[in-house]
Amino acid sequence: MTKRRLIALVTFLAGLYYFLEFVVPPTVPWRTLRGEVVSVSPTAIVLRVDGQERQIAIEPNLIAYRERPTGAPERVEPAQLRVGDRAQVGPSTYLSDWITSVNNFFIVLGAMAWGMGLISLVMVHSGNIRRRRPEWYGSVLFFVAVAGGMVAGLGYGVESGWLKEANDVVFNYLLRPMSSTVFSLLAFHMATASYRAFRVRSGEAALMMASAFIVMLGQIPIGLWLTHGLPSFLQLPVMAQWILYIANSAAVRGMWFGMMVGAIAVGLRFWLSLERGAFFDREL
Amino acid sequence: MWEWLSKLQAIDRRWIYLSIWVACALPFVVNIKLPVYVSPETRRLYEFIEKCPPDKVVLVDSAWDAGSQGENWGQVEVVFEHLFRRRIPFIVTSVEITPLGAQFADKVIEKLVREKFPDRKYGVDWVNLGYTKGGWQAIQQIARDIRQQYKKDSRGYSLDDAENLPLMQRVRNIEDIYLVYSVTYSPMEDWIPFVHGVYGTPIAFGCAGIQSTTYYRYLLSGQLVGMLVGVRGAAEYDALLHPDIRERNSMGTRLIVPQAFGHLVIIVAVILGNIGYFAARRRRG
Repeated sequence: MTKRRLIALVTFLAGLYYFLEFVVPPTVPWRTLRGEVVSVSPTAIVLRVDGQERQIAIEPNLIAYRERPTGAPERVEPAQLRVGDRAQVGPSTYLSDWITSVNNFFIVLGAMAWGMGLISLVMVHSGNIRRRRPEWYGSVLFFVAVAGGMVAGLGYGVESGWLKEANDVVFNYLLRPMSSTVFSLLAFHMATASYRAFRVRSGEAALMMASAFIVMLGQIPIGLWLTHGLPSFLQLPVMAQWILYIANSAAVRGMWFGMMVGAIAVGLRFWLSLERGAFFDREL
Repeated sequence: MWEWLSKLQAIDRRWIYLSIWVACALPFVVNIKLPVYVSPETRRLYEFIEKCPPDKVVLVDSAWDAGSQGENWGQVEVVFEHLFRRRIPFIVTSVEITPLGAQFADKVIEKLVREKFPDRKYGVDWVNLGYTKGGWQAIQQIARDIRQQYKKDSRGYSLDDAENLPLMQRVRNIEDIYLVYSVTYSPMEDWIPFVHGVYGTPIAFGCAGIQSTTYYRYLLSGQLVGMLVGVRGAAEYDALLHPDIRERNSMGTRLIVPQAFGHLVIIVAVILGNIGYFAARRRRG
């Protein structure tokens, strides 16, 4: 129960931080000044605000944003401001000060998930070998592949030598053709799946097939060749563009709108640890 | 006759496999180049890069590997060629999706430098920052201050090393970037809210054809300035770079031919299957 509460608390605080960082301005609004920099000294900045010069003491919690030519703010140290800059200066609300550290924490956490995956695989495969489970020699291959991949990875960027050779063998002569081969199989499966499943059983199916043919032919030079003599709105590439830009986008927008509303609901449930299911009902 | 035609709905799938194999392999044996129709999304990206001012830099997030190289290789190749040709410096990153993305981008650049642009120099005309993990957090940090996310490039030089990476001395954050071009099987949409939404920096995608349907809505809303869709996008961009068809030799131009024949085989197979289906229905009465 303690672990569960701890996870719920950390999840809530993490979500709360990002929420507040998003809605709370980086500087206290009623003490923030925006104007042209008149002078900068180690102890104070003078800004011209609405024609009046205002002096701001440089304190440890003071944040300065310089406006870039596009109007976007760029955070700088107060001493880096130059006379003539447009700047926004005010005391920090502290939340945005931590964003880099918090982001880094989550990036490291995400990277750790890879390590966790590797540890999990090592445990499973070492168990297979120890207990001589069926096809345990496949698990030996796993360790060989992991070790080989790690060594070969060290050869990235190396100009010459056996490490470079190892990198070439693993990534260029093994991984690259194997990945491409697996992906290429999709073409064969898609062809047979379309052949077997695509039947005009109803008006809707006919409409779908007609649009599929138009889009498929419109994507390739043959579509242009077949219809290049027709008025432009009847040419297959133009018709395919209309389907993709108008009909398809309308459908995709509708779907994504629904999905995002669902994602907000699920996100809230995760954030508040209200989610229930196979994993969440278990005592950790 | 109906009986014979009805057999068309039960062709052995191995014949379909063989037809696809022949259709895709034939263009590699016989040298064929096909003219292409340039779609608006490709033309918009090309024209946007054409308008790039000389003091700006393009950020290319090249996060693809062998699995999708058939589509993504051509997409980065033509854009890198365009950038080299116009002498627009570019920075390569590979955010989140695959650790091999930076290596593959290096291969494409090496080929272009060897064959077409031998005077382009690493550190001056391009920099490869390598792979980083972090999803939207990484994107957010690259936008705010690229040095928060990357301390060194993929070759181990510090980003503050003015001697080896002079290009990086004029790049601090997203304000110095003219365009973010994200190329992968399915580009991360996080570039749109965290970079375009916050800073207004233009974004373009290069994606697999099958994934493109979800991104067209961003073209309509102006959140993407352009998009290269699969092999077709790469071939179209090559056509804009080289109006003379004989000069086109990018991966996109070569692969659009097997794709065209492959599509034809699928269409013919579906038509045959339906002829068989209707014949069987007619036979049953």
